[in-house]
Amino acid sequence: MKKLIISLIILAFAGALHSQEKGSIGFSGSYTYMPEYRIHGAGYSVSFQRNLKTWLGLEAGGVYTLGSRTIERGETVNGVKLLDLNYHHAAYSLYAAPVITAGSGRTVSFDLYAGPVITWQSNVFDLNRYELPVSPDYIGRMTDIVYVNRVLEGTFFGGIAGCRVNVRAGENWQVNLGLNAMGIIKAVSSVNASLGIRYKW
Amino acid sequence: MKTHPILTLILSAVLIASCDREELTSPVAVFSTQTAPRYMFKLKLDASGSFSTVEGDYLEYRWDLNGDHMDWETDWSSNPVITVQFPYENNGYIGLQVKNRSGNITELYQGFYSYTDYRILKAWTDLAIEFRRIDYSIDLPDRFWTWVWAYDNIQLPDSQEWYNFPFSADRADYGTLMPWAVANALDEDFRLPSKNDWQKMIDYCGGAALAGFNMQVKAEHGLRLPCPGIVSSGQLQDHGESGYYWTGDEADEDTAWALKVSADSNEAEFVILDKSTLASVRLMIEFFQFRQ
Repeated sequence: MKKLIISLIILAFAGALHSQEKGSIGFSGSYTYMPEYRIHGAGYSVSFQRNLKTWLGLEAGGVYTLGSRTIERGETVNGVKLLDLNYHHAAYSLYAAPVITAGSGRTVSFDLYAGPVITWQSNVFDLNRYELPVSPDYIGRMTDIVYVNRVLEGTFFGGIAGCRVNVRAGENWQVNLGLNAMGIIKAVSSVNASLGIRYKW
Repeated sequence: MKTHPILTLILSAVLIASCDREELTSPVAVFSTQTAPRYMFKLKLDASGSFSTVEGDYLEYRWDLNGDHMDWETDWSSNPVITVQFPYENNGYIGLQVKNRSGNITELYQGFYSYTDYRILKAWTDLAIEFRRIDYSIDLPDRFWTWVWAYDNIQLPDSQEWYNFPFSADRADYGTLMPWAVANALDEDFRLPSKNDWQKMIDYCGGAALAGFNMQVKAEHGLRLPCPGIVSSGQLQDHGESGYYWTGDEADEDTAWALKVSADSNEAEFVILDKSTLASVRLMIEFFQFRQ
């Protein structure tokens, strides 16, 4: 896996440096879903693409995603009131990927891309929140609501793979609809659907 | 155009992204004392009210008994109930950690107060040798209850009818071992506690499983029952091992009930002794003041 990531990074940067082909810059908004924790969210991405050939390009981009999930409980078990649980996710990701384009120069074209990702994520998962029953034997507790969470935060590595349908919307403009999956090792992975625009020159 | 490697990567990424769903939960940690906490008394801390929100989960427990947040005084155990000697004279914290099968932990610290309303006085009686009394003031919903117990084993002057220890220090500690008929007619005001009176004291001291220890423990607010033993067939037996305390209840014409506590046991139990057996005596009396 490491060899693959390193190879793709080298390929992407080498290609970007030596290419004399035209490029493009894109912006997209996305809906994101993290299946492992069933977190829904939204994000946006900015990407830069350098064309090496009509069917091959190199893309580098940044993605910001924000998501949350509430697990509604609101029940009382054995005198203990179980409170809702919340999951929060925020991530900044950078990726580089070769892009293979089918139908380049036509009104509708199709991109496939895959490459390595480096991401900084902050995730907070409530493991439990509950309100204790009243007891006369106590003088107090650290808190009457016991709160337990797990924080998963830091820099992680992974990969991104996706596809995009581009529709020409002007001489230099494209509108695109994309799907991708971002697999992050030891952190939160996601699948994303995006709608974006791209300026080509 | 070689798209197969790319598709493989896409599929791999989707697979990673769609890996097993994980529900993150930690157990609900709850605990209480089975009886009112009293300084130096043994009690059971009960975390059996703890539960997991995941069906079929498995819980383990460990305790910070001195509430110092430094070390856990017990190892992980699947038993939610633990017997401890309550360490706080007035109040303090006790901590619990509960761990589930997936290793998620919930930690709970609770403060407990220990309060016993009592005073120790000299008992004014008809007896030749004085003893101290301990008055417990107990606030019941409908009345105030003053529960008075002899704080020392009853001591009588030397006589052939009963047994006095040869040394004065032992006499002061152990009192006199006397037959039931003598014990039952010692004083007009103070009476020999009935089996029911002793049972109330057992309940007050944490129940039969722990009252044996709690009635012996050298806490000022406890009865501090010693273990003088018993004289049966003219022989002193179980000296330093057990204490036998007469109740006012006869079992039949020749026998009566006694409370037995042992130095090496937490338990208190009732036994039947021949009335001629020489055993220890604590007297008691009680007063009620009803609320207006």
